[in-house]
Formats: sequence, structure tokens, C-alpha cells
Amino acid sequence: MMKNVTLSALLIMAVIFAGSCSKDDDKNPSPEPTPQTVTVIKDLPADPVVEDPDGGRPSGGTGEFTLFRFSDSSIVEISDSAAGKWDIGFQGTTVILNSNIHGSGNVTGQVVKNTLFEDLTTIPGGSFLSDSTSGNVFDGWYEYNMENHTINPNPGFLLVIHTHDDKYVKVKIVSYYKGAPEENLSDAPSRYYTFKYLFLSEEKE
Amino acid sequence: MIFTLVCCSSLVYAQESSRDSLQSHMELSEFVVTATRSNRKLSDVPIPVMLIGKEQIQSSGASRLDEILAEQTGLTLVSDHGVGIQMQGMAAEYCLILINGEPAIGRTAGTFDLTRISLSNVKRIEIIKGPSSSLYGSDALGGVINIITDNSKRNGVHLQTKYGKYHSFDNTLTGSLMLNNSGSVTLSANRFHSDGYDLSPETYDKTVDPYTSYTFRGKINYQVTPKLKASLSGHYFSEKQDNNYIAEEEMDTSVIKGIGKEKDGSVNAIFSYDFTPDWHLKLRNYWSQYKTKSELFKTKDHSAYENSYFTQTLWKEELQSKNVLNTKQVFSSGIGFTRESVVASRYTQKEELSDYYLYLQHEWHPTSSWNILTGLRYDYPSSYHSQLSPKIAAQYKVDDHWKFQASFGTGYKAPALRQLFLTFSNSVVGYSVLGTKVAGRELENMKQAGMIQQVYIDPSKMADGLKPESSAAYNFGGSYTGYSDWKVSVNFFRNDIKNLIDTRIIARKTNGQPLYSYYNVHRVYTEGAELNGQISLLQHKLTLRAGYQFLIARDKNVVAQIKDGLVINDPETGPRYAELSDYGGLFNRSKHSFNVKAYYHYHSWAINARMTYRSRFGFADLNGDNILDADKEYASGYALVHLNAEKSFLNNKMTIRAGVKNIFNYTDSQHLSYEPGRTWYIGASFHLYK
Repeated sequence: MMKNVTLSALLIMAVIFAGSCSKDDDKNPSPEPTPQTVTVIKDLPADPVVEDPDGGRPSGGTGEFTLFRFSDSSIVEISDSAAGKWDIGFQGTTVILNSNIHGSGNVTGQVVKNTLFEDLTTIPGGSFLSDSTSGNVFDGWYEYNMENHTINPNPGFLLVIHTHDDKYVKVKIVSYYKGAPEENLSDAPSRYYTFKYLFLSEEKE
Repeated sequence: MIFTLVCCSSLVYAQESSRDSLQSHMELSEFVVTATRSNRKLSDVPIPVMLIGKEQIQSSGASRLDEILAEQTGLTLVSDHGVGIQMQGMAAEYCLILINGEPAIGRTAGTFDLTRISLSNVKRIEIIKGPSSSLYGSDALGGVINIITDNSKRNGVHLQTKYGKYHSFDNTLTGSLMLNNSGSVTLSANRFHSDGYDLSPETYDKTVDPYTSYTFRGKINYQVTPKLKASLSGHYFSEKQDNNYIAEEEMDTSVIKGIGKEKDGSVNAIFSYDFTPDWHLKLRNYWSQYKTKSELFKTKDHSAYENSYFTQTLWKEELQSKNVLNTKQVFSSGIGFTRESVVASRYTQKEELSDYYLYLQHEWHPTSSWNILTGLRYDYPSSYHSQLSPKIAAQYKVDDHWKFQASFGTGYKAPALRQLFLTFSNSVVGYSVLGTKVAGRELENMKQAGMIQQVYIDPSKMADGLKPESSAAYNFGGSYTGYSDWKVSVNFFRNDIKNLIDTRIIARKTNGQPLYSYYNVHRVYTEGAELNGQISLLQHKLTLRAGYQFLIARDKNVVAQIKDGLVINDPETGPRYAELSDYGGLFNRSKHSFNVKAYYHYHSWAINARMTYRSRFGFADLNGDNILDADKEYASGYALVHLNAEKSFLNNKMTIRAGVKNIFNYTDSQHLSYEPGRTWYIGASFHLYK
């Protein structure tokens, strides 16, 4: 499967900002708070469909995954995929992890539901899993809206990933549409992921 | 709820009865058959029932079934592949439609299109609220609507004509003939035409394309011997609609035209035999077929766009027995089977279902003030689990004024044919949907053809099959009948529904699109209260009626998630945890709905004004959190006002009518495609009997 992975060196805007997300600072003053920096990745292409400017039939996706690495917020070239230094891949609505059936790495993940991004502050206690033939770990990240035929990220659905370099990161997918519009999603090109992530400290819940 | 019926009974009774018969003329000759399968006085039935009489139908100017139902308390029209009815907050697919006691078939995406049913020679409509699977089996989950056609006891003819906006033209001829005191024949023919209408003139498509339909109904009753009675009835319906719309496919747009045809018919033969005055047997033989066919083509090159067909056939045999055990108890039972088949362009082969069933019912009047009804039905269907459907109901008459009643019952809906056998691929987007019974076979075929990328759920694990959707319901209410011709009633209801069927992705195709099948997942509840009142004034010249329904309808899974910390996208603050008060419940439900009707009658004149209102209702999730929460996800509430006037001539042999519906011209092209806005009509009816 990874043979198909190619990468276009598309521009990724990583907006990094500092935020004080820890609500409990006052109650539990820790001597040395972990630096809280949320990284936002905007419009990561995931095999987008190319529109013909002349109004002809759009050329379909290639079926190839875009691979991503959290440690340096970068897209990993297909030629480097064998080295296993990627964490997560996107193609259409499919989200994969670098292990088992989808890669040579040891990346695992778990889903945390019904939780706000800022409220998950420690590594959750559940088990970290790999994608398997019976499904991918993060398959439930979106809901399909039958009314306007759009893909909507589940607002309380967090992806927690044990990365290839042994870190834990929490991820929230914000949008599947270019520019992450709030309305009229069906007018925007799809297969562009906007997501935010933050590394979690090693203490388990 | 009983007085609901009372309220709905036609004003004629109220107008004609005199004060001394008060207790009450309102209930006097109101009988209902659907509640127990035997004729029972409406006031004696311990479950929520509503009656719509012929006079009410005629004085509303309604031509089709949906129009008259829309004016009743607690009934809301909903549109999904046809116009259906929501009852006690339950979706249209959970309402069983009967014609003369036998099931009407032909649903699209679960909806039985009520516009198919002409009111031309309908005598009355009986509406049972709450589940009645204990008598009727599948589909009687939310309620039952039984349409009873006229069966005149006199020789004569009746002619009715009506013309209105959008060239709607409704003509009916009914004739009846007595056969030497031992039988009767009634025949009726109706033609209905409408040019359709367009709520969004800026688009090419019309909201409703022009259509013409014919309805024929006939009934023969014959007393063969003093103990044996036979009746044969049937109907034939045919409708043609001219399609004309723009279809977009792969950046290409074309004008599509063609004709859609819809037909249904039925034959119903009933033999009744009275062994003794207290023991009656009835054999019911029923056959019905529903067919659609559409042939659509692209106008630019006359190439075929879509050819589709659907044929559903139902055969039902039932033997009923009724024993009057003594003056206080009646025992009824029935045994039968149904066989249903479907042949359709979206099914790979002819599919068949059968069901064997048995039901028992006991009516008991331990004292003059108590009435207790118990019932039980067992269904043994061919393609899903067997079902046991109980019902118990009790009524207590405190005195001439006060009456209370309570009931509990269960209902179920068998998995629909499409949920079992559909084999469908969307040619534009590329996804596919498979029924659970054919998923294994079709998935294997698709694998062989190299169309499957990954299988998520092994169809063999779905072998256990779909469970029927089922409900348990409680109704409790009371009524007060006053001396000066007024009455109020209240009914509280709660329906708990489980195993609602939805689609899920079972595999991904190599084109990246999902492959769906069906599974039991949702649990919902609806609860609320219904209030009805009626009063007669000015020596019964003026009758006022009002009804109100309060409704809460929620998905239990969403309620559980909210307790768990469901995150919603607040339009002002962004993602946050939901409170229960953020959740607007199921889509397309109005929390408040009410109607007010005034009927005035003076000599040969009659006028009425009717108003219905429903509060705002959700239509779709727009902010991506999959629940109804933001204000913009609601369609606004609205009120419709209708007026009608009529005058009789020649000793009531002739009546001229005129009316305006929706006089304030309320329309909402996005959410109320079935509401054409202000329309008017004029009409006349004439009858000759001897």
C-alpha cells in the first residue's frame, strides 16, 4: 500500500502559537509547567480532486496518501516512507497510522470521545491500537451529513497518537474543506485537512 | 382521547340533536371499528381514537387524504419521497394505513404517499394513536389510520365536482343499487388533475409537476343465506406525472423529461358466517398490488436517463372468530398469513417474505363503569425474529361527566424490503447500498470484480439479520363532558422505540466510496400531551373546536452522549460541552402545534374557518456537530388559515361550495414542498336517491 504513497511538496502553513490551556494551573501549581504550544496545520491536501478550470470533468484523486510527521510538522516523502519516520496518513476521508497493515512503523492510536481538545491534558488510560483489516483506529472521526452531502468532523472526537519517536500527541481534526469554512461546505474543495495538535506529557491518567 | 373523536365527529350531530338527548348527542352515533376490529361505540373504546366524519371532510374542501389529516390535532404532514403523517412524534413510516381494514401497500423510502388516496367516497377516517401491533402486526408502531369507504343503503347517484387554482379539477361519480333487500352494489369513479405548482420560479424545476389520476372503487354486499354474508370490494388507482427537471452529472447538466406512472389495486372478499347469535366467523381474502414505472430521457439527444420499475404484491388470508361469552365479555381471535413479494430494478431478483400470525383479544365490562381490553398477537415471519405484541387498556367512567383511561401496548415494524434486499449503486457519486440479506452474496461478487478495497464488517456477522424496530407505549388520559354541550379531554403519551435501523459503512470500494448496509442502532423516545376541546353555542348553530399537542422527541443515544460530555459547535463560542437544553431533539418535530376551528350553520348556509399552527422544527444539522442545536437549523413556525362556505338547495339534494386555503399565502419552498400557498376552489355536489 505504501508503494502508492507519493508526496507533493505542498505548502503547509503551520501556525504555532502559545496558549495557556491548562485550566487547573491555579489549583495545582506545578513547579515547571509543560510548555503548551498548539500547532495548527491548515489545508493539508489528502488526494484532492482537481477541478478543470474550463468546467470539464474534474480529474479524480490518485488514491495516494499524504503522510505526516508530528515532530517537525512536516510531510514525509514517499521515498522516505520505508524508513518509518511518519505517523499518520490521509487520503480522502481515510486516516491511517504507520504500523501493522499500513506501515513498517510502530505508531498506535486511540480515540477519546466527548472531550474538548483543551480538556485532555494527560495520556488517556485506554489501549493504543493499530489499524487492522477490520477497520482503522480513527474511522469514526467524521459524520456524513445526508442532507448536504458533507463530511463533518465529530466535534468531541480526539485522536491520541503514540508517535514513531515515542511521544504522545493529541489531535483534533477541524475541517475537511479548503480554508476550513464554517458554512456552505459543499462549495469548498474537499480533501483538505485542517487539524490542530499538542504533545502530551508522559504522565498517565 | 375519546373525546378527541367526539371533537372530530361532525358538527351535524351537534346541530341536529336536541337538548334532551344531551348525554350526549356528541357521542350518540359514533362507532369505531379499528380499535377492536368490531363495531364499538366510540365512547366505550379505552384507547386514543379520533374520528373524521364525512361532513368534516366535505366542509374542509379536501380532495386527498393528506389535506384532511393535516388539520387534526397531533398530526403533522412530513415530506420524504411522498407526503406522510407524523403521529405522536413518530415518523411517517411507523403509521399503518388501512383501507376498509386491510393494509395499503406501496411505500417509497418508508413513506406511504397520502396524496394517492382520494377522499371521493370516503365515509369516515378512524385514527388510532399509539401502537396497535396486537391486532395488526407490523407497521402499527406509531398508529393506524383506517379509511372506510361509503356503502350506501339506497338506490341513487351522487355527483361531485370541484375546480380550483392550478387547474386542479376533481370529479367523482358514485352510484349505488340495492339488490332485493339482500344486497347492495356501490361503484365510484374519480378523476383528479392538477397542473402542479412552482414555489421557486427562479429554478427550472417545478416543485410539483403536472399529474392526473384515476381512482375506481367498488363494493358488493350480499346476504347469501340468513347466516352467510359475502362482500366483495376492490379498488384501482392510476396516476401519471410528467417529469421535467434539470439533472447535474459530472459537471454536465441536461434537461430530463419523461413520464412516471404509479398504479395500485386490490381485491377483498369477505365471508361472514353466524354459527349462533353469539358466535361469528369471518374469512378475509385480500390481494393487493402496487406498481411504479418511470422512463426518463435526456431531451438533448433523447438518450435514456433512467428506467426504473417497482412491483410489490401482497396476499393475505385471515380467519376471524368472535364469541360473545356473556353480557360482560367478548372474545375474538384470528389466524392468518401474509405473503409479500417485490420485483424491482434495484433488486437483483424477485424477493419474497411471508408471515404467519395469531391474535387474541378479550373485551370485558366487569361493571358498568369499567371496560378492560386485552390483546396479544404472535407473528412468525420468514426473515426475522418472531414477535409477540401485547396490549392492555382500561377505561373507568366515574359518572356522566368524568372518564379516565390508560393503556399500554407494543408495536413493531418489520425490516423493510429495501433494508433486506436492496442492491443499489449511485452512478454519479459511486457509493453502493446493500440490503442485509444480499450483502454477503453481492459483496463477494464485487470482490471478484475487483471493486472492493477493504472490508470493515464481515457480512456473515450480520447473518443474524436485522431485528424489527419496536416500541413500547403508554397512554393515559381523561375527559369531562359538560351539560351545556362542551367537552375537554387530555391524553399523555410516551413511546420508547428501539432498534431503529440506519445505514453504516461495511466496506470501502476501490473508487474510494463507501459501501453501506443496514443495522439496528438508534433508540429514541417521544412524549407529550394532547389536549382537545369542543363547545356548541347559539343553539348549536356555532361549534368551536380546538386542539393542542406538546411534543418532545429525542434520540436516547444523543441524550446519553450529552451526559457523557458531547461536544457541540456553538456558533458564538466555538466547541463546548452540550447541555440537554441545547439539544432540539429529532428533526422535523414541532414542540407546539395547535388548531382552532369554528363552524357556523344557519338554515341552508354553512361557513367555517380553520387555523392550524406548528412551532419551529429542525430540518438539518448545519454546524457539523450532528445534532439539532443551532437556531439556523430550524425552519420557522407557521400558521395556515382556511375558509369555506357552502349553501344547500333543493332539500339538500344540491350543495354549492367555495373556499380559500392558506389565505395568508404562507410558503416555504425549502422545507414545505407540499404546501402550495394560497389556493381557492369552487365546487358543487348533487345527489339523487330514492
